[in-house]
Amino acid sequence: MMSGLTPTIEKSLSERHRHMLEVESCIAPEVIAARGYWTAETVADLKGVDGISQNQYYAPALVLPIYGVDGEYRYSRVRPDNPPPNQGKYIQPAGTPNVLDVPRAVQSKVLDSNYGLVVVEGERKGDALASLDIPVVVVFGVWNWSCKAGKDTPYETQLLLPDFESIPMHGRSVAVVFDADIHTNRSIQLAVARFAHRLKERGAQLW
Amino acid sequence: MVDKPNGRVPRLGGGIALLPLGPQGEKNGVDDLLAQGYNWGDITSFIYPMDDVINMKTGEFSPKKGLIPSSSSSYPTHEHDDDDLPALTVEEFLAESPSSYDWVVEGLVGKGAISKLAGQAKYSGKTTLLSHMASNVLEGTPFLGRATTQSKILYLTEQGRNFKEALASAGLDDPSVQGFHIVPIDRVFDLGWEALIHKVGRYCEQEGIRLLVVDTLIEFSDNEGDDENSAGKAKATLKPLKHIATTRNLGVVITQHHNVQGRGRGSTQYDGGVDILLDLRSLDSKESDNDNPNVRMLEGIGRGVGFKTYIKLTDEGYETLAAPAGALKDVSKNARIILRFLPILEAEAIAIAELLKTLEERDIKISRATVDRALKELKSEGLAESKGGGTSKDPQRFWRSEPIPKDKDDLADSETRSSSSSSQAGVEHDDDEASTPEKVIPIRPGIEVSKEPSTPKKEKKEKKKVALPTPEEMPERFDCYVHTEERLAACHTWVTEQPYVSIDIETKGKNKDEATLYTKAVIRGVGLYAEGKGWFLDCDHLDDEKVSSLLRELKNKPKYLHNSAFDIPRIYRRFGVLLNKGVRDTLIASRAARAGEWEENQRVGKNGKLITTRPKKSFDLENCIARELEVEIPKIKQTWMGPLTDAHMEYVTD
Repeated sequence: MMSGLTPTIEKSLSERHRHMLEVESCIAPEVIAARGYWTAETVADLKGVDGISQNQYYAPALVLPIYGVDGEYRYSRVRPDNPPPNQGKYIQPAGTPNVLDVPRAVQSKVLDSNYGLVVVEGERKGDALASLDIPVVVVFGVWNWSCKAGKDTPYETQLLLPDFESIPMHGRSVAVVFDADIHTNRSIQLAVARFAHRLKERGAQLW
Repeated sequence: MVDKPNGRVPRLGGGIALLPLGPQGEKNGVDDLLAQGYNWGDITSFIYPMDDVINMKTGEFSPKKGLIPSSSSSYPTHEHDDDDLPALTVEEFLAESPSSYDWVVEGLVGKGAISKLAGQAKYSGKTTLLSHMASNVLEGTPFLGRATTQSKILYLTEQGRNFKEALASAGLDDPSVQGFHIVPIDRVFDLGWEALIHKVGRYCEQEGIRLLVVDTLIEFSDNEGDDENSAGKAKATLKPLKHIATTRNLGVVITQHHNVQGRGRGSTQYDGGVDILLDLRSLDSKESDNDNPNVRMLEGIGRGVGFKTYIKLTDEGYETLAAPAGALKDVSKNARIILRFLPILEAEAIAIAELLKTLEERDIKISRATVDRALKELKSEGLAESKGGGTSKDPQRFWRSEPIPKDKDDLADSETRSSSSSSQAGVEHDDDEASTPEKVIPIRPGIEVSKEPSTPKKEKKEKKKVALPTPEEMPERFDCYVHTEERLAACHTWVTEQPYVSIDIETKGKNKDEATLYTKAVIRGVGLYAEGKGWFLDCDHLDDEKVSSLLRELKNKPKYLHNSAFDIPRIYRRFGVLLNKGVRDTLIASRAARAGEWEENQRVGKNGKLITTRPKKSFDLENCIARELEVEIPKIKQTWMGPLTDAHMEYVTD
């Protein structure tokens, strides 16, 4: 865990990536700035950056700094323009645990139980809602709300990430808004069902 | 920041989102939808309560039927990564399939269901009927004798001036009317059908609307050319409506014009795809009512619905005419004409001279002798009653009546003839057929008991073996049984001495699945209990006036009932005694005491996983007693139509 660290280099965001964020994902410029998205045009840009490890050295790529519930920088995830085979679209530093990502623009509201809360999968979706001033937290995948991800993990041991303990849940309206393939993908359906039950156990209102 | 309407933070409710797939099955995320022009309000309409998406018994993802995003083209094509077939157990199926609707208008419009009202364009009066229905729903008052749930209404209308006239007819042309929302078609011309219904669903949710009317469907839908005859197009047109009906718990009424054959126009899919079919038509020559422009036949068919009834538009609104369709088939043309001019209430009974005068005013030429014969015929069919001595000072006067059932089937089914399901036992306060020979002689005036009730042949043989106790024998076996004036007097004395009394009634006549329980069921027996002593008044053998006198003693005493909302109106209807003071309702008390409690059962499933189920808590008498007092009562449901047996008495004494 690299809690407390912040990106140390000033990097710029390419026009293609800005278009992707602003137009394709409807993220407001101030929310883009708050996260500090940047473009790595070469692998050299990635080297030596806090929170980026060797397994992420792919360029050109969009770099997404991740911020925890406390608003502190955790690490960066990298989205190569040409993803390597057998890896997901987003690459996380090797050996880092799952965390919740909280868009900085709405961090105070996420911690305020007077507001409802949305959970989405992916930083861009989270920032799209943060642009609407909607309190939102981000999980990196439909199973990544738990330390023990995956459908083969017994439900009994599949507990919520410790980060959820910092977010008031009791009596709070919580909406789980995952992608539309929930209609067709059994693994996502199972993940959502388990996640919803875990949230409900914390007192969240899912109705 | 982008798009914050009125600077407000969009409303957020909890739940699980079922976002729509793209046209090619693309897995849209929330950012994709925003980029496609959806706003946050649109997206929240795809968020459903958890228990609509997840089977709370099994813990598995199992969206309720109808939770299908309208733009989802491939739902629900599951990628079966295992070989599971989503089959249900009988218990699960029954739990997911309520036997009746939660009605907006009893028997006509159910929440979560679509009713289709078809009628001849311009002549049948669909809009007028719906306007009157809307007027009653807004106030929560009965419509056509059917209970309504007070609700706000959204009315999509294609009509301009005609609609204004219909509103005026229903008394809705008052600017102070609240809760009635109107969308004229010219305001939504630019919206596609799916987009319109999507907005309608959201609006209904925001405004708390529970009744949606689309008048007419064809004008608001995007059907063009011959689309109306296409089953596929019909299905696609109904799909978004079904979606909002189920997800928003809306009662939806769509209207449709008749074709030249007098049926709903277009594809039969419009019939198959809705829940309740309503048909409104003027009467044809065979029914002899052409000359009365305000009389219509309203027919309804659907799950738990099956009726044909004559209705008439009067200055006071619509009213039902008492004659059920089946009974009219057996009377002559002249008798049917006469019937239309008979009042419904006994207090308004008219003499033959008045009837002749009315006929003359309407330019209907029927002789005195024919009128006499027609009235006699109507009386013999049970469609009319008379009173008066037949003298010049006290002429015989006539009014309508419900026909006397010819057999038990008629009695149990005097209104629902066409498609209602067979009655089901096992429902408290319900009734069913009695299939045993009647031996008792009633002492209550006006009650005729069939000596040989029609009994299915197969059952007769077995039933004859059972020796039923007579009412005279019953008190020897059960000292609580009251069927004579003497015993009623003893009970009356006992009642006056009690500081409080518990009351329970048993009803007969209709069952819940016919959607008429709340209008038709009448009291057969009244149970009274206090301080360890109980009485059961068999009201088929007692004078109503004397029972009323006894019940009046209870007016100012504390009373304990279970589900008093059922019992009190029925006591009032039969005996004219309103016991609405000092009521302690154990059902309400139990619900209040147990509010927010969940019962959880856990078991290990076939795959070794822990399955948590949360069964719905029942508040019927049996379960309440078991829960609150830890006492089990063996309640085997009884029917209360025929002679009483030991089983009946054991039921009430429990």
